Amino acid sequence: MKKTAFEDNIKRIEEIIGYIEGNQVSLDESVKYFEEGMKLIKECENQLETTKKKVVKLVSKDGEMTEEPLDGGEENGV
Amino acid sequence: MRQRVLSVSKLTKYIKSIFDNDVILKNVIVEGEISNYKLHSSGHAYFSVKDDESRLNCVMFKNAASSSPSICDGDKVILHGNISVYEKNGQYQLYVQKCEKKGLGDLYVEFEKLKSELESLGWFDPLKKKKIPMVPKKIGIVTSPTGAAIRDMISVISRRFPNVEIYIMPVSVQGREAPGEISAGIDIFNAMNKVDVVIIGRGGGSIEELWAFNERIVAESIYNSIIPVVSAVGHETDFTISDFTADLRAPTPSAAGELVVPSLEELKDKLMSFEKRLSKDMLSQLAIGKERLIRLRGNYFFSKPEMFYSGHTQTLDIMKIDLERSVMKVIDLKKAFLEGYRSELKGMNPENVLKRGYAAIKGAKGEYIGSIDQVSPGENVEIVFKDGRAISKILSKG
Repeated sequence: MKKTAFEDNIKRIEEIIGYIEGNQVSLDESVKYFEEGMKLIKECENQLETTKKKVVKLVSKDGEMTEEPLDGGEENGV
Repeated sequence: MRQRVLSVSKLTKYIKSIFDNDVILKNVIVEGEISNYKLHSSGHAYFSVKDDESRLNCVMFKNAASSSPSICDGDKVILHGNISVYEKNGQYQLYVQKCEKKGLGDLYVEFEKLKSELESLGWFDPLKKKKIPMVPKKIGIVTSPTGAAIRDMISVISRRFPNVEIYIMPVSVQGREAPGEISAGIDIFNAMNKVDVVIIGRGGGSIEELWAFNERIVAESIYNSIIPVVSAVGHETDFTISDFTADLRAPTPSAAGELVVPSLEELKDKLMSFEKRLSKDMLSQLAIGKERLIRLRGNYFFSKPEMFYSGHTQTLDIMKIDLERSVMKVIDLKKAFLEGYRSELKGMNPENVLKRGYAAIKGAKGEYIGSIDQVSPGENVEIVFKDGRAISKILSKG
């Protein structure tokens, strides 16, 4: 699922760093892991940029939920 | 005669004097439930005491407050004191001299009952708690659209992670309608299936004001929610049923903001540090590889190849010696055999036969004659004895 992709990517990157730092892989494998890690980092950075800021209030209209801007009124504040 | 016009303060003073001189109000003992208890930094405590129908404002000054048992909202108490008027706002109130606790409040009992029931149903089971996604893109908030709580949450969330969508489900967070509305808000977010996480909550208040979050219907919606729910009700010291049921409890609404979204800056820093670490690791791996290569190149196999086979030369020498030795051994063995044969052969020497009394005949050329065919009449032959020889002539052949 797309939702957990970011977490999975972070986990994978940490794993990869562990492999390389643990000196348990051959140089060839290190290069492969390095490339994979760098790709994942780029992907994570892209994921952080995709959403735009938005703050809306959901209001029920004719049984459907519609979005309205939050008017920030301040009666009996809690 | 016109009636006298009084100033507000004069009238208030008059009213106050009536209260102060009343025999009953001078010294009252009243029973009720504490609500809106606030201990001011001055040491004075302000609260109200109530029953099902009425509410009475109370003040307990520092001296009385310091000797009072520790009380909080919902506690049933018996208060001793006098009723008087606070002139500044014209309100009458109970000036508490002494406060006695009268067991736990009904609300508290109700709370404990529901809590232990839901706990035994496994609704608070940590293993059933859903994980809050690390980077939620869409956040649903069920709360009052006008309170400080929503403003706090929006500001904390926007500060930490600006690129996020916030959907607010406006509900009442106190009063009779509140439990149903909060519960429906959670259900609607689940039906829409649009947000990654739902925050429910409100700012601080009395136990009654927070009560909606102790209602079973709210707990049910939280428990049945497919989307992870964060409960952020009141202050850090307030614990509600919804806090226990939720997948995550935030001590306050602004803390919910902190807990639900990561700091974009921190995440970017983290990614950056990953990138640095990975590059550094790769470079050091390459350096290690290079060093190995240099070491290999410097290895005597490449630099002084003769070193590599000098060992073998020596082995070869040793083997040569071994070989010679074993050849010699074979020769010696053969020699011994030969010696054996020689003595055997010696035994077969015809002279030895002669020694036993036999004689041999040799032809003209010195050859031994063993067959009649080798001689013819008239021919001279030599008879060899052990102790001499004689020449004789063949007279005839038979």
